[in-house]
Amino acid sequence: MPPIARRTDVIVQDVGPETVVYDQLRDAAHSLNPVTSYVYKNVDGASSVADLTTGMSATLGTPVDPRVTEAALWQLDRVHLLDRLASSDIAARAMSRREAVQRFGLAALALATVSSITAPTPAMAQSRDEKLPKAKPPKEKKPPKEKKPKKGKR
Amino acid sequence: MTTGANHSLAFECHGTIVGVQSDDAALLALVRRRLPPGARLCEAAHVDVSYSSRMDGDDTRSTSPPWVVRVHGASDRISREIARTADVHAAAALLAHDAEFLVALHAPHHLFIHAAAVAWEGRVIVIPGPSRSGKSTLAAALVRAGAHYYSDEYAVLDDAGRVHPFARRLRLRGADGASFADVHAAELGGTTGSEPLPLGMVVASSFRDGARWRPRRMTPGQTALALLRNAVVARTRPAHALERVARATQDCPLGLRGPRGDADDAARRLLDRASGARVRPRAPSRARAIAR
Repeated sequence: MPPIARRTDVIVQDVGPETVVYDQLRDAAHSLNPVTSYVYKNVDGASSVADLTTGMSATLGTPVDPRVTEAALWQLDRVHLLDRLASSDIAARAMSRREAVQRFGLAALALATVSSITAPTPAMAQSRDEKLPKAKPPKEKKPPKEKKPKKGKR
Repeated sequence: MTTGANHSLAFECHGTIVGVQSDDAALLALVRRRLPPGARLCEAAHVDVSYSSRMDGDDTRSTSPPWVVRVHGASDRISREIARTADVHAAAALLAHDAEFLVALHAPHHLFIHAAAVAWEGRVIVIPGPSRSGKSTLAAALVRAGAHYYSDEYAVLDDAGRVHPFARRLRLRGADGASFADVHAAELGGTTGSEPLPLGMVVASSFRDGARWRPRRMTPGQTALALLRNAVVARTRPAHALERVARATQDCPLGLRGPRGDADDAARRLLDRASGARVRPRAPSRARAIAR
């Protein structure tokens, strides 16, 4: 079956030629470059890798190798932005980066990139103001310890 | 809200209304002197966030009753203690610091990015980053080099993607790394900006001792991520954050990332880059020329 992109629990925003996708389930944000952006927007469960490659070649105005499309799908799957990978590529889900380089080639992976961050909690995006006084109550005054009588030297 | 608090004030800042009630006017006077940048006192029937402070006479742990400051949500259902201290100045400082953060958290239309910001030639250079990454030091160096000071804590983005000033005094760390000095931009020979301006450059850089300033260019998407990574509400209001970051980044001509060493050197190069001028290679020093 052809691959399909995840459309639920994500916020998608175009930034110039790229796309930023916020994953609400994982509180992560991903920047998709023009290649992965095209693939993400067009994997609809009906288009095959060949269809995507043809469409991308027409859109970008330059011939695109199918391995670039496969590399983009692998990148998208790695960051949980695909609901389903192509059935022939199920094994790709467990593919390491080294194996991906061997399969798609370094050039294909360099053309299909995804940059990711984890979104901060509000406290993480707050200044830790060490100059402020500590908000701790003053320590309770302890009663002075009773001194033990010194033992006399024998 | 605490009953018996007979002094109060309210202020509005970036669309958030904050109320403060106290049973002592002295604390309110101190809070009034520490309002967040851009705040204005107002009469408010409804507040988004409120603080109450009182002397805790029941606290038997100390000889003098401490100040207890609590913050309450608009519904008054959630309340937490933010300070318990015998020093009224400390209580006011902690209240003001918390209020500044809650303004950033609640601002309905604006997005607060944890960043330093300066303006240069009609556009704003934003330096996002965590605490102790050297934002204030670089901002101070940029102001010394002629930029207008906007903030060393928050870059405030509006709906149109413009950056507003949030210009409290620069908080510069001393050489020992532990002491601080609050410095006005004028003390650095600079001025403070007052107008919202479009974003001109995002610099994701942190200090590394001895590092040379050789930044790499970020793509528009990576520039947006650099801002989002430091947005106060990135996780709590992601759509709000992403929309404003995207709008600001859309027209931002440049995003740079990489470690920096000396702040003054990096500042000079950044301003050259922002002006579109090519950085001229430095002439070989006499010592190096002789060594050849």
